Amino acid sequence: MPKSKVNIQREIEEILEREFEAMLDSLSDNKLFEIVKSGKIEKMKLDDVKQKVLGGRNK
Amino acid sequence: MSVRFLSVHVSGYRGRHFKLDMDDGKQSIFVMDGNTGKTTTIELLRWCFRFKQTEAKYKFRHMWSSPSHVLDFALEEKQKCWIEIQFEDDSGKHYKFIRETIGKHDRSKARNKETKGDIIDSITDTLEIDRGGDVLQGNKVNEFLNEKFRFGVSSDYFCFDGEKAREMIRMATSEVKSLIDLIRQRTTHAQVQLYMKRLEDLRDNLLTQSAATLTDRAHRGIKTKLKTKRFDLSSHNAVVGNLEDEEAIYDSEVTKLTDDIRGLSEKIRSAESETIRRKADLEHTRDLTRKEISILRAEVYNNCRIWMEPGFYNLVTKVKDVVRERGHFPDPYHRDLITECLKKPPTCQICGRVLDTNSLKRVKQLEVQIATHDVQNFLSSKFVSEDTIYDVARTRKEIQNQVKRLKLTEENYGLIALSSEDESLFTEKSENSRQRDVFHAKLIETQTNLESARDYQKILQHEIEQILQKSTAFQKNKPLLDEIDKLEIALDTAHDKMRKRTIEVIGEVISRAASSILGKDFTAMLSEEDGLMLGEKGFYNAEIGGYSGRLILSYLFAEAMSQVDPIIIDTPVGNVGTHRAALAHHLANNHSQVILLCLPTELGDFAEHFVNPEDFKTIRNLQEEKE
Repeated sequence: MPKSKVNIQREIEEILEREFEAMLDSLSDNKLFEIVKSGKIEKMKLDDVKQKVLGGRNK
Repeated sequence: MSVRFLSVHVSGYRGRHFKLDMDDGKQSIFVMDGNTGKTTTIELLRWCFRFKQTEAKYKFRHMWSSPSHVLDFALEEKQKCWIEIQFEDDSGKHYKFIRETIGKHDRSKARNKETKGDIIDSITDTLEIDRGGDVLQGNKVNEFLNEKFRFGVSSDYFCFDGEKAREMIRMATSEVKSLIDLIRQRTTHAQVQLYMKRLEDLRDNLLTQSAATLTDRAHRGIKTKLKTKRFDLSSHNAVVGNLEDEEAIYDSEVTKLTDDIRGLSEKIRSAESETIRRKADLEHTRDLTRKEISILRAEVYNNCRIWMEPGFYNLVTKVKDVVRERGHFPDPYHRDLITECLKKPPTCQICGRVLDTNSLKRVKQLEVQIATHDVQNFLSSKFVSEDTIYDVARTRKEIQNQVKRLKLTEENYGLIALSSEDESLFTEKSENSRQRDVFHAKLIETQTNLESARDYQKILQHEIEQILQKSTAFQKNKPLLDEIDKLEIALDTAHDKMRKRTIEVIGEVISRAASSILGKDFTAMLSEEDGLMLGEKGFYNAEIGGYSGRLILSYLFAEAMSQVDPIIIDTPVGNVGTHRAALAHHLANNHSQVILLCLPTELGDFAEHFVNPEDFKTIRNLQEEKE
């Protein structure tokens, strides 16, 4: 009897992770996303967030 | 998330008293005869993992009864029932969950002649972590278990039984939308949700900061408005997304059926038989005539205002004349003049006088007091259609003629007898055309709804923009609010793409698993249009594989949906037929721990693939044994 070599859960988790990594890559040059991803946003002051995201546009 | 269940101890719930001991988290076979608590165990686990302490009252279900009684109906006095579930996580940390329920089962009948049932006083949840290292109570228990182990969202799948399998079999091909919704939930990435939550918090903080300069009332007003509009927009975006999916499905159906019809028409056209060609000609005439009748009927409908109320247009024109001549509309409102008057310093552009406060107020109000250009333009425009005469009697006559022609064509069409093979070409073509018309109508309806939904989406976006623009306090934070909006859209799009790819992979993996259990001729196909289907030698439909094949398919689907590694199954091979051993191998390979609640008749060629027969554990109700 052939032994099943398919591990459904693991393969789904793997693809979800791969696609998630691809999503992170596609947003890598978004400054706001960088802050959101790092989790620092919860501790940062709003003015610092604005400065970091908007730079010169923040008046 | 991988955990190992160590024991499940049931005391009193539905009159059951037993302990399932998994020997430090090993594969476990429990032999339980009919009506000994197999289903109760599965349903209790689902109830405990799915519902928080405060939401669990009267939520227990048992097979087809929902809610069902969870207390022991044989006891008349107040009773206390409990279930204790012990398990370990990957790192070996120990967890002990206890749900205790106190109440009374009332067997008397209510007015509607149904038993009154459970009267629950209290439900209490406790989770002891690391053998007393920490203790959680109340709703925090469920929140913790769901966040750390995903028990709540997975409980329907890793606690599996025939009832759930039947539900999935039905859903796989008959309730495709619900099935796809489940898959969408499964493919939602927790991290992306966390990013969305952080963005939402940031927006909230920005709005609060913006509002710091406003009075409390103004702040509350603007914030509430914004929140409501944003909520509407987010719900509406989901509606648009669903409609877009529906549109794609109907569009693909119409294209597929059109191709099929074209192929059949080609076959009919290339037929050598004179009879077939004659029938095809008649069919063509019939279709053309039907179309012509539809066009004429539409014409009558579209012109109904003219032929039903011939004086309508004249009436409107008369009303307009009266308003223009006898009404009290002043001269057209001169926007430029008013703008000039309001420039600083405010000065009347007619007399040159500087406007005092009252005059300034009056000038500002002019726009609301008098008719705008639009009203003036409407009143002065002609509202008379050039073609105000529509001869409905003539069109009616024409329709009658076409109907006669159609009847005759249909009669002649029916008289032509063909061989059953040739006839089937026409029947199939006609059935495909009928189906295409149905899908086409649905496509048009969906497109119309989609158009309205998109319009409303734009209106909501515009309204949000307007609220922000009107408040100068919010203006200074607008650039960052815009960045948040942009990032949310980008995350949504990326998440959607990620889901689509994952759904494809789920289909592929289930298909490979189906081949490994049922044999290489069998595969599975998962699509948003047709749901989940089993196929044999590349041919797919809802009946392939019989009940046992579809039962296996429902196992595979449950495994794909579960985010918890062990699987606990009630009556695992009841209808699996000859695939017992293959299913056993599949389950053993897919899960670090398999817990099976088997009938004595289910052991052969199945249970021994997990543990030696001498390790099978027969479970009886402890209470009955005592007696």
